[in-house]
Amino acid sequence: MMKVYRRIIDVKNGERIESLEIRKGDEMVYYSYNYKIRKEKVWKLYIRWDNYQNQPHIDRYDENENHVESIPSREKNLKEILEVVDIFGKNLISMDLSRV
Amino acid sequence: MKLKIIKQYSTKDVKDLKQNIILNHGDAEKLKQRAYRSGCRNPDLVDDHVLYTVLNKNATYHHEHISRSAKSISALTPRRVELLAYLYKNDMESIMDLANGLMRNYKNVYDDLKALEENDIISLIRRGKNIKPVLNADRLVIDFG
Repeated sequence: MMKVYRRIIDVKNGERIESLEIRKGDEMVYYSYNYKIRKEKVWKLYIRWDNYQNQPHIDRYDENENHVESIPSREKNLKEILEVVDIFGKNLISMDLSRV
Repeated sequence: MKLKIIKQYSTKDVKDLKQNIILNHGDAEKLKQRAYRSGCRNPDLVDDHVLYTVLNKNATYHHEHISRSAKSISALTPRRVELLAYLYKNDMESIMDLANGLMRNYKNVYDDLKALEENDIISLIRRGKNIKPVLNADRLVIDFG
């Protein structure tokens, strides 16, 4: 039996993670963690970690939510992402994400 | 301190969710093709495609909104908690029906619903001339951790 977990986590004022996790038993089949910032009452996606088609990677988006770049990454989990967002916050937008 | 707004979707809720995904994207095959083509240039498409596929395989669906803001907790006045409990037990087609059911003034109920919507505890869904209040939670948990 597969289980879908969708979470919205308000990390700080005006910053949130929207996550989608699909598990089969203990195995994580799919994940996406979307880092969004609220601008003029709209939540805009800036960074996304996912393993679509079994290829873990990070995507970066500009202020108009246009895709800017894709960077390979190791598998991530929600706890790691929340720690990273807690530490770096909006600085993540301009950081080298391959080092995070 | 966190407020957790938790909902475990019933079979009917999952059916509605699948229907909404298809309404947004045309049909399942179109969604699949568009998701493959666009990849992470359109991440909502990817998530919707993956989600639709697993829901079709009878996956269960659990939704949680975790707010770390004390403001969300302060939105839960006694009158609003009473309203939420009523909405949990009674499916309401309009704000007027809800105000009548609670025997309260329409404007006060409307204001309470707007405050609860702002905190994602309920959704207000337009259905023709009516606005249907829908509860986004079957449990609200205040976590002191």
